[in-house]
Amino acid sequence: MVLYSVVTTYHLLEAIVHKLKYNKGCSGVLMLSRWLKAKYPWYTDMQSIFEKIIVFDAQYAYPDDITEKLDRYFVQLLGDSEVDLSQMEQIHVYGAEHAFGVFLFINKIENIYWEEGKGALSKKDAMLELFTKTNGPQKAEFQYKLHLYDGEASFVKKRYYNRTFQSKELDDENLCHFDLVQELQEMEEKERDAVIGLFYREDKIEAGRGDAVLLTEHFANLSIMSWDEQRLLYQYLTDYFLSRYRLLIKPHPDDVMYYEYVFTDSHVIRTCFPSELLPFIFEGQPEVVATSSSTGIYDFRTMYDKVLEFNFEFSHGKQFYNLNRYYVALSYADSYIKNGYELKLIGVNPAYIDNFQSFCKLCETPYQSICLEAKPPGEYGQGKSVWIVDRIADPHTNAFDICMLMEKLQTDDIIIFINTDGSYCFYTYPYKYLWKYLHVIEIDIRADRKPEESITFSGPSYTEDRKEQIYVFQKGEKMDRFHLEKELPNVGVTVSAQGYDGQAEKIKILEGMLEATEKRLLYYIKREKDLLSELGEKKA
Amino acid sequence: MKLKDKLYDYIVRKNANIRYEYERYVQEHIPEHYTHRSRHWKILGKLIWHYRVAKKTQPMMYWEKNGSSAHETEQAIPDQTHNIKKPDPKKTIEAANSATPVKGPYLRGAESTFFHRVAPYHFGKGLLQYEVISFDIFDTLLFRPFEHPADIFLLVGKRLAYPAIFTSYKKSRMEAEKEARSQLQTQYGTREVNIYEIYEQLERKSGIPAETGVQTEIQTEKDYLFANPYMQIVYNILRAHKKSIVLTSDMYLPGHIMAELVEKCGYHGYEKIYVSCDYRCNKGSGELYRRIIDDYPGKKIVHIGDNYAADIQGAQKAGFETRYYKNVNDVGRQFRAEWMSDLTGSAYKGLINAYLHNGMNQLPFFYEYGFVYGGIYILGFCQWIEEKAKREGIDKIIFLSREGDIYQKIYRKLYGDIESECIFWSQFASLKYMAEMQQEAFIDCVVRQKASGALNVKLSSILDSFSIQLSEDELKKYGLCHSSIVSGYNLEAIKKCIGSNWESICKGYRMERGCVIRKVQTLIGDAKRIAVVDVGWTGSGPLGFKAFVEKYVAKDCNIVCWMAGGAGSYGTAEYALPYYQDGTLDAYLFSPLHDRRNEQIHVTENAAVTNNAVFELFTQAQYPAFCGVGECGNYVFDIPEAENYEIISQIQKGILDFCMLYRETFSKDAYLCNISGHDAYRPFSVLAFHKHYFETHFQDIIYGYAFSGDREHQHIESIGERVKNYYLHIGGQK
Repeated sequence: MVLYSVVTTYHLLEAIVHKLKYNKGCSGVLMLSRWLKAKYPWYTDMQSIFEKIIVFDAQYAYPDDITEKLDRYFVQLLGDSEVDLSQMEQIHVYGAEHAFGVFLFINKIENIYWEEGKGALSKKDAMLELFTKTNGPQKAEFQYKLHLYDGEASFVKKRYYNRTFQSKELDDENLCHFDLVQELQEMEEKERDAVIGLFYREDKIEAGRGDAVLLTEHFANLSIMSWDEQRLLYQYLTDYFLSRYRLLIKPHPDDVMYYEYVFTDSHVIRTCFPSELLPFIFEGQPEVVATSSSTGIYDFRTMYDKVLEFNFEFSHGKQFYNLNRYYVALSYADSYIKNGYELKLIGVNPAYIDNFQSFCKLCETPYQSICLEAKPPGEYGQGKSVWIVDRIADPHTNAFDICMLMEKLQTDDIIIFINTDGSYCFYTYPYKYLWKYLHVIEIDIRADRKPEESITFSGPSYTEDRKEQIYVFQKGEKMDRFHLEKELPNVGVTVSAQGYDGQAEKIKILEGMLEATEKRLLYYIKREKDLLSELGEKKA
Repeated sequence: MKLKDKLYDYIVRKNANIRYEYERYVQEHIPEHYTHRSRHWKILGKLIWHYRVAKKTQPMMYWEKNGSSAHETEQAIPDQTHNIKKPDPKKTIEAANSATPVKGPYLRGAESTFFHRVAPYHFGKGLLQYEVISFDIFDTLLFRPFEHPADIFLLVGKRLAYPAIFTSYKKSRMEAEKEARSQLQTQYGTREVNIYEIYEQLERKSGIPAETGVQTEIQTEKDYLFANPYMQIVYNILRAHKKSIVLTSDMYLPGHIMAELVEKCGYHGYEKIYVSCDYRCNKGSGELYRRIIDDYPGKKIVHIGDNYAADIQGAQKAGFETRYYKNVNDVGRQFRAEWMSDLTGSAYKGLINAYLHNGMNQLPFFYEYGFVYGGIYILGFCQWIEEKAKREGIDKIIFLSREGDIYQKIYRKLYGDIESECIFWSQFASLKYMAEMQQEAFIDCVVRQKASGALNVKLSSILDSFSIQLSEDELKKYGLCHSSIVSGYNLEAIKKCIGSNWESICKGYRMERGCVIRKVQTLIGDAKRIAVVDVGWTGSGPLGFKAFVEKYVAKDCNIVCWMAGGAGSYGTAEYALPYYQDGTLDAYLFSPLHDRRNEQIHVTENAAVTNNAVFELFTQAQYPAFCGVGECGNYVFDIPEAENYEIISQIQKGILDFCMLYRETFSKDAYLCNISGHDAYRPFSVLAFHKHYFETHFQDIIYGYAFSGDREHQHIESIGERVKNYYLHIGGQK
């Protein structure tokens, strides 16, 4: 007899696949968390796979419930269900940091440990940090010490993990690799359909070339950004990268955004099922899989022709607002790249470049990410390079490095400063003379609505009119007249960019210098205050 | 409260005249207050005898203020601060969260953070467990931008041209409804009337054709109802998840009209509307909900609404689960100013409450400061300027920077019919370029005010800020040097020194003046009748510019001066009074000629911070004050208050958003933008009595209380420093 204890949908899916593949002939007991019971009211259908299903409370209070209460609870629960742990050949525990895992580990009951999520086994410190925030420091510390994050205990027979997602090589003879999507692919079609059929009971969706499946995340729910910002992020992604595709949107189970009304031509897959099953619910295969930063994409990215993917900074750092600047910068640089220029990046999120290259055909060339600390500025400057510079580590101290680079460059080199953090890393007083080679491209973002509609009772609009600037450094001849315009229909703005000449340019540049000076001023004012305060404390 | 503070309160603060003269004297003699306290007590004693015992009406010390109208006795105008309960700060904080709060601002931070609502998507998620969701309509799904629902009848009456001779349309309309309900109760045992029945009643009494009345009222509702953005998100989440949605309302508008209203506001996809007048039963009794049960038997139903009796208790009687959405006006009412006019007050309060408390946003503190307190004043002021400019045939409006910056921005956004410019001008410029005519004022502003400030400023710093070059030897003749700290002790010496070198000082300014003249000439162009606009207060700014233009630029130009507020009687501006009276000078919010109570509040309340400082934050800009023009025609600016820029940006955003939102909301009845000066100042005047609001939240803001700051150290005093100094030397209650 085998027992599987699961807490999340991912755990449940792993348990089902493992049971069907490796313990088919054995009778099985499934311990299902109450959350899953609420989420899947049809759970009793799984009795075709697990003869007995027991619902349990995965939550526990620390330290009140520890040992006595938990013991009493599980002894009674298992007793009432006529389950004797000592008779189990295998006890698989998923989400060991929850109640049943704690019970097993405190009582040193032999079990088979499954990592909490993809790659979690090699990230126990990150898990500690995460659970400190969600569970509190004492509870997290307790879980860590009990090895609930890594399963490193003598009574743990085996540890299952997905090798592909680990942040470091793990070496232990009790480790066992398990890739859920791969296992699903290897299953017999009939058996796989039966598994899928538990979670997804609709007809398969027809898809093919020209379709893009978009996996969303519930940023607003997690308070990473506001509701409007979450909507805006996906509108930006769609307008810049997915405008040619029909959208098939798979919201995260906890994402309640009404994408039906945001993207009126899209198809929203509201049925709740694990994202690992996503490739298997289509008749045919969409051309593109897209996400902002969901790790759910990792399992099946190789199954799609194209992948649109950003990273943590893009969403959590709200860098999606910078797409307009990058689009303009790369559009400007594109003609140079087509003429054989090299592409070099400093402080640039490479995901922007990859995605603009792949989906917008801009600056399609290999690029180098440069670190000025590793190689001093003087060693660059071979000519025929387009440099794209954005956020550097400490703009106040590294402005000198950037200016030295500017000094060293040839006349046919170009630097485009995106300046998303407004730090003007290319301006420092001793190198002020370099600004005569600086040109400004102004980006005008105009909302497609009347100005008075930019403020409503929901607050200031996230897409009100504004102007942004990027700067082009070119020692050679005056920069080419540059102009572009792009409509973003979902976002509801038109982005236009214009290079400036003459007096207007001078004014723009002076405005920029002023802003830069003010920022420095504030920085030093604050520093002075902090130092005076420190001095005061020391004297006291 | 300490005994000393109680005594001070009783002896000094309770009499506005004693308080003004005594505190002004102390301010002007701070070192003496430390070193010769007994002299100050003697003066206080004399003031008490003068005002309380001898009951004099004329000033004792400061005669530049006007006579009896300014200094009224305790009996003639009882100190109105007695009637306005000055809240104990602790009680105010508690009261802000209690059931029966004292009116005043929210003291713990941004008002939008006061009442916590769950984020709309969490609220919506929580409803996904139900099969049927019933929404109340008014004040839940839909808002009207008025404090009380019935206030909309005031607009309906205006649209119907109802002759409001002895009674208002609102009252008549409400009476008619009451009578119609009563009649229906008698006839059919129910009070749930519809709008036609109400207007039949009204037609009999007022002669207004029922159909006209009905259509006008419905159209007015359509013009003003808007979707609650919080509930819009909730609604759309439920709709996307294919839930059954019904709408339930105790209302006299039949279902088909309600359908038009909700759909106009973007709500679609509901299954049915249940209105009390259609079913002749209401929510409070539970009967209306039973109609829903009949249509959805066995379903799990939840009802959401803002009226506790009808939406919560009534629904629970019928066996529904409920969710309470507290009415935005009930949340915000305690913070809204009283004694505004009924219509403007209702519109302003309704809009503010709907914006701050719908649950969508928690806004930054200073953004709210601009939105709640600054927006109404600047909107009203711009409207006033526009009306006045048209009436008086103005060719060009010149806004004096820096304050004029935001005025012009808003003015151009809202109107822009009349040509306008913004010019760099300041008291610096006025004093320098009109120096020959005002030596005394020059010395007063340059030196005396600095001596009484919180900063220990060197003489060199002051001379530098006014481009005055005096050698060390010259200063030595008067017992001074560049590093002398300006104070009451050396005031006379400095005065003599400047007086003796007056000709050379003026000569230096003449060169600069030439450049300024050319710039102003270009700006004025061919305009013959110009309005110069400034924030206030004594009138020296616009009058100084007027004098400059008339003397040096365009002698035939007819210039009028308009200010946001004119503090004449309580300031030092008796010189301005003739200009008020002949119409050359006018002010919107208050002046020596109107709204004197607001003028008094502005000048006397909040003495530690001063209302000028915090009021002018509405109109500061993100660049420094203009000092003048250099020899090469370059612009010269004062110390940049970079620390304030982010705050200014937030305040200005709040102001702009209020102006646009108010204008857009009330665009169908444009007269609602004619906001009286009293109403425009009223919200701020409530703040003025809550000094803790400023002393807590505005500490780090810097403000050049006495013309600029300390040039040498590039330091301008902060409000916090000023307050600390004030309490240290005045000894009042902190």
